[in-house]
Amino acid sequence: MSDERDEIRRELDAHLEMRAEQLREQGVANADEEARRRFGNKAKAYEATRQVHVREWVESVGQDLLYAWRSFRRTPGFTLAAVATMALGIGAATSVFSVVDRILFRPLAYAQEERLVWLGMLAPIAGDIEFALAPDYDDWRRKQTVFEEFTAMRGGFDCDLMLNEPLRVRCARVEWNFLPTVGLAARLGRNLNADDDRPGAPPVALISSGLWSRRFGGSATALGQKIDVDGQPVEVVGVLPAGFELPTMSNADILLTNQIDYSQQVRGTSTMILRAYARLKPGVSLAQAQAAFEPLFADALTYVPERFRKEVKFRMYSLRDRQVRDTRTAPLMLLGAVLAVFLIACANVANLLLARAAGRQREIAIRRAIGAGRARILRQMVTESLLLCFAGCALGLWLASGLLQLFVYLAPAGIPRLAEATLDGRVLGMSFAISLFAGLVFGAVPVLQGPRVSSPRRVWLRPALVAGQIAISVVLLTGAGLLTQSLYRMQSVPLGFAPDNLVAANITLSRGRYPERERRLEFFRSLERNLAGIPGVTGVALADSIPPAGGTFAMIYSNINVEGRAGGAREGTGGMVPHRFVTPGYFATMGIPILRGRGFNEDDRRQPDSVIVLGERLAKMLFGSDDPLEKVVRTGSRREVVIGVAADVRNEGIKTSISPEYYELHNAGGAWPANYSYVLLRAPADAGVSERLLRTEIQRLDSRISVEPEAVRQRVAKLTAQPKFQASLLSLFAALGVLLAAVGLYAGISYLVIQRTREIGVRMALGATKGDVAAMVLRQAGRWTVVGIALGVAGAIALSRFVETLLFGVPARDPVTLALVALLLAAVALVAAWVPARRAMAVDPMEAIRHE
Amino acid sequence: MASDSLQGSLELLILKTLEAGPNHGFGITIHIDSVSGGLLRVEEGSLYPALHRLQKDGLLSAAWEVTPNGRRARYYSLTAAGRKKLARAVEGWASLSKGVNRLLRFA
Repeated sequence: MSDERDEIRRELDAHLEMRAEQLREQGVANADEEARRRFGNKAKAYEATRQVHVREWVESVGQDLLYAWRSFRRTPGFTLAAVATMALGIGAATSVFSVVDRILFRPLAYAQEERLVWLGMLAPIAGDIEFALAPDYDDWRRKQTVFEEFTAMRGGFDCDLMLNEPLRVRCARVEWNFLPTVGLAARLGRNLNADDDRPGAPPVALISSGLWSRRFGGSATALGQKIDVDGQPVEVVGVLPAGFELPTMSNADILLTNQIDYSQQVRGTSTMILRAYARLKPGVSLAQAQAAFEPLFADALTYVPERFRKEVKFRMYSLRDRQVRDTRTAPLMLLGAVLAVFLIACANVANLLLARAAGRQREIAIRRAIGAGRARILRQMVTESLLLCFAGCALGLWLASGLLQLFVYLAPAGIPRLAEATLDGRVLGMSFAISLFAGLVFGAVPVLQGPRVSSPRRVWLRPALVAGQIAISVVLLTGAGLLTQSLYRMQSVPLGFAPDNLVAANITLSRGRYPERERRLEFFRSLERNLAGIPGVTGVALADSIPPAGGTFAMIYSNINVEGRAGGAREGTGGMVPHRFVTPGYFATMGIPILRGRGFNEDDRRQPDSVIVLGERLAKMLFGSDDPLEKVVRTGSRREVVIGVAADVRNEGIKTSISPEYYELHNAGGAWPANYSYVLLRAPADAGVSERLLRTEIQRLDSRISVEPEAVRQRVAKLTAQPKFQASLLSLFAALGVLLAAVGLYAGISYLVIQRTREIGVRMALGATKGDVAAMVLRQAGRWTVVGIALGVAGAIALSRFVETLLFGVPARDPVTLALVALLLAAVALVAAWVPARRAMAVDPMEAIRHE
Repeated sequence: MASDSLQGSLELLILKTLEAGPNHGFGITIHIDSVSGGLLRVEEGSLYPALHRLQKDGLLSAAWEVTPNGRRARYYSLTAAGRKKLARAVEGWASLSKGVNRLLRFA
């Protein structure tokens, strides 16, 4: 087309020049101008001329389409197979892409997110999340020069919102400049300001769009209302933009002010933990900011107790990198898996088109003979394959919308941004682009391959496609096998307690109504008594945390000392030791065996600070093979006698190894009981009944407490929900991949048998047995399969390190899994090849030779 | 035939001009101008769409050649189909003008 445009332009120019030349010879002044004047509107003439060709092109495309349509109608089987295969591939790829896009690729919902950073200290006392101590943050914000804005928050926490009925929601406390730092503004009302954030200022809050529309009917009258958050009246001053999330990728329903009095935050003594975020000044790179913070970090390190310094590191990341760091592997793996399925589907369609092209050589030869150029034939082929791919794409999108709903339904909570996944323009664009690409490639391949039937390339291309499909299937199946095994191992990890017939609820007492320890103690005591008095209840306990989801208090190991034993301060922290505050009924209710000595009893409650129960592992670490009973242990400033040793439980989830731990009484320590607690109830009843019982009893004591009981068995199941989701999706894709590969192999071998029917006939006429013929066909299939499996195993081994972090209890290069996968695929291949092999055996030599 | 005769008249003139031998667009303009004694003036802007349409319909073929003045120009020549079409068009034109003449005389 561009040639044509150029040609027309040159032709018109030549005309003007010749006219000008003529005019010059006639002695006309301004010949060029006169020539142009006579010609009239040149642009219009050019357009009109070009239209002649455009119309021709459009007409011929119409012809191509008509031709393609007719040829598809002649071969409905082929058309259906190709479109369905494309639809499967594109449907799977699109649905998964729409899910992972938000996590992996899409910009965050913050303005100019590339300038946002997350910085802080990494230390054993706070796990693997960077934090900033309040005085450090205060120091940094005053001295730093690289940030435009610098803010901090106290992470998300559960809080009780009282609106007619108690409601448990997510809250976060932030510095007043949090929203400007991340580049957002309240959609209604105003942002927090510095006055709101002053210690002692009347508390104000921003509420999420969701809460606003659910609970306030999306009305502007929400502004200025006083809401009751954890028993404190808070004024609503603004509504957060829709889709707001904290930089930790969790949601927040209510943003409150930090109101930290930094003059009281002294280095070396303050342990207030913040998360710090900042916006780089324009033109300042992350590396520059990191360099600028070196001295500030070094200074902060000098306030860390010397023996812990080695274990403390300071870090600064781009917010996005830090966010996806922990959540990237699973979505990337799923995306890889669907792309693999898509490739297998493409290979099948390519194979179908190759077979079809082989069958159409006569037709193409005729078209060429009557004057169609190579380009025109190529265009016809591309038109056909594009039609197939777009039809597949349309059907695939329909499939994808169904799959997406299935994913959202199957997916456990905690997959970030899953609920927002939609088939929007971006996702549709991606699907369209891959269909276009596939269509162009498929269309071009058979033509570029040339018309020769027995070209060595063709002989090479089809087996390569089949081997490639098998190889990809091996990789997919290996991944699915590994994930399924880890899931099984996770589910069979002994938890150390009995999760059945046990329900738990986490409740919070309003600080306003239960300010003193005595009031809280009284509430918890009454609750315990009331619950225990119910017939059929076999166990009641309170605890500040329950396994296996973590969230416990923890003591630095080197601060736990056995009295009367030399040792003093050990080097480093020695890691963290979780501990929990429990009532005497805890061990029996949870089903945790006491291995030595005894658990707590009612008498101990009168002197709560004097007794301790050790977990088995901690007892071993502290006492080795000595008897720990009656020994005195100092935990921080407390001095307690060991009265028993309890069996170990899984505290920090399933994947981490068992950690040492110890137990103290629920009312131990000056501040205990705190204003929150888990309430545990064991009863040999349906979980629903126990949950209702728990709620009724708690709200009978205080109707303003929100209670959301949950079966402990369900809590445990949540830990494996994500691995289960990943394993089932990957298994689904692997099954789809294997199925498609089997179809590909079947089609490939069938085609081969048809092509070689004559040869088979000759061989049989010359004395080959049916067995020989079957062996010949199976050998062929076997060669393709073996190559595919070998490549696949190599690929699986090469890719193994990417899934390592998702696995539990099974090595990424598990030879058993690999061997089983290889065997399974070999079996599938044998079945897929067996049908055409039988067809080959049934060839009648006389008929085959006479044919044609 | 009659309905598109007036629009078709430019095509007729082009075909007729090219019957004498291959020529380029400008040459066709000059030829029509001089042979008709200046009575017929080709609108240059609509000449080229017509040429390309005729070429697309297979009535003309075209090739870049050098003019006697040493300039490169696109030369058009009649194809076999073009000759046939010219013969039919001449006939059609003759009958049309005959009809018109009769009508004029009668009135």
